[in-house]
Amino acid sequence: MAGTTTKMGIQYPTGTDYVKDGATAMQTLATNVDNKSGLVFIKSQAVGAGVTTVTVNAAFSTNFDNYRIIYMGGSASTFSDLWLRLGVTATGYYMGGSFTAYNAGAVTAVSTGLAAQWTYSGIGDPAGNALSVDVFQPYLADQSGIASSFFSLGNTRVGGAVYGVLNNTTSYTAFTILASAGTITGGTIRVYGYNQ
Amino acid sequence: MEDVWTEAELIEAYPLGSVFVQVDDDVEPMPEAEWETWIAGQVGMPKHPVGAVEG
Repeated sequence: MAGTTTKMGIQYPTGTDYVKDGATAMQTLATNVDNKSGLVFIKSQAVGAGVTTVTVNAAFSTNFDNYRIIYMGGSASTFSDLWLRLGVTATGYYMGGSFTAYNAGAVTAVSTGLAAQWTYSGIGDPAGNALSVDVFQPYLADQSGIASSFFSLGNTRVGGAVYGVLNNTTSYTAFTILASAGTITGGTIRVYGYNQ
Repeated sequence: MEDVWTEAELIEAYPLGSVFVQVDDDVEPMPEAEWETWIAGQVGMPKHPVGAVEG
């Protein structure tokens, strides 16, 4: 190993290294990539037509403590909020935050206590659906947290930020996105793990 | 006065068989009993929820 990459410091062999060491060099390089990547893509899920709920299994595991879930695109049959649940749990969700309408200045505070879901996780809109949340330690036997970038692809909607906790110590491997009203169609849900 | 969904509007917009639930790649029509519960739960919901404030 005679060199390292500029941005991530990953070691690589040079052209004068022995060919017989190639397999070992590639294994070292692969291990370095495995250890140094920031967000690691886990899986994607295409959303079907006219669905009210989408459950994504095998999303969380012992490999990562914290995750980013992004659902973009498609459309909604009507204005809605996108809700998020972990596993099949339908109680104990707390959230607090604020948002502002895109073309009005007033800030509105929002909160939920002991709710059936994280209510302000994303926004469904005929123009497109948008959900981008960080979910903290859902797989660990500890409280799970969420940080939601609450925004819309519809230009008459809102932008804000909401944070919360699921007040139990259950370990989860799956999550469900729910439309608060009507249905959603299309778009892709992608799940990433924060490397550690 | 808040604009909310009525049962008649919902049944017209989302008749039985037109609403689905998805688990991973499996997309199935919502069973009738579940659909009735879903329609009932939507009645009275604002057509412009929190994320739908229009400026």
